[in-house]
Amino acid sequence: MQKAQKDPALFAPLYTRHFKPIFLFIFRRISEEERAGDLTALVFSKALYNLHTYNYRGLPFSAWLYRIALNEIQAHYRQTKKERVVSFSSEALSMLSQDIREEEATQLQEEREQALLLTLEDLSEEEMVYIELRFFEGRSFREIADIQQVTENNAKVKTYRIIERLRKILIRK
Amino acid sequence: MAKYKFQKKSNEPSDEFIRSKMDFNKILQQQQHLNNYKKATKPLYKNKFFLGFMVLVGVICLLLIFDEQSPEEAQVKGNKDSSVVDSLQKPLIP
Repeated sequence: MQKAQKDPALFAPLYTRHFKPIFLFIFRRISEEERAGDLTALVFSKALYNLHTYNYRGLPFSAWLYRIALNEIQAHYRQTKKERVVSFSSEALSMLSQDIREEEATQLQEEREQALLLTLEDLSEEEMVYIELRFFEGRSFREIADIQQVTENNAKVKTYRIIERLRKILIRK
Repeated sequence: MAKYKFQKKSNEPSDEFIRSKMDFNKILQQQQHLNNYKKATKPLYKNKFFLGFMVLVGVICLLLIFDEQSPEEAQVKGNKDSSVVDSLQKPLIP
């Protein structure tokens, strides 16, 4: 890392190691292969440009890259004004639904998941990022904290507050 | 208009496709482009030569202001000088 800060050519191994995860991270939120490729290139060139500002303080380099990627995704949606894509697997949605479910719920699983998707519309961009990272991508709270630049406890509290909010909205509906 | 477009995870691009998108030279070029752009759009107040020049101009201006005497001051000074001369005893001429 320190060598790469002095000589950009030495950034290549870091680029090779992190390219695929960053590409997929962006692709899941953009759903356009070509655009995801362009944004990934932009993420790495910005990382390389700002490499001198990166100080290792326990924060993994990948978390720093994910942070830049999230900023680029937000910039992309600001420019294009398209609907923000949220990708999830059936299992992930079912897991989130289980976590939110109130005790006396009588709905069928499928109905509940449909209602949940409608409820997710009420979340802000930041709240959606927490839900995506935790439930749709299955990341640990440590990873979420690193990406969102908060403490691990703060990440947990924020996630549980979002779950609580979703539960309340579901009950109201 | 809906804020989010929810979609079940579709097939992710293949490893070959992802590898085809890898181009480190492009990254180096973009980084150079960012460098050039930053240099070209660097604000004047962050330019150390411009800043040094402005400090120099400021110092010269201050020197000029404090060095310059107003006409009244010059008059007072002139009067003082003449009174000193008058108070001197006239030399005895043999």
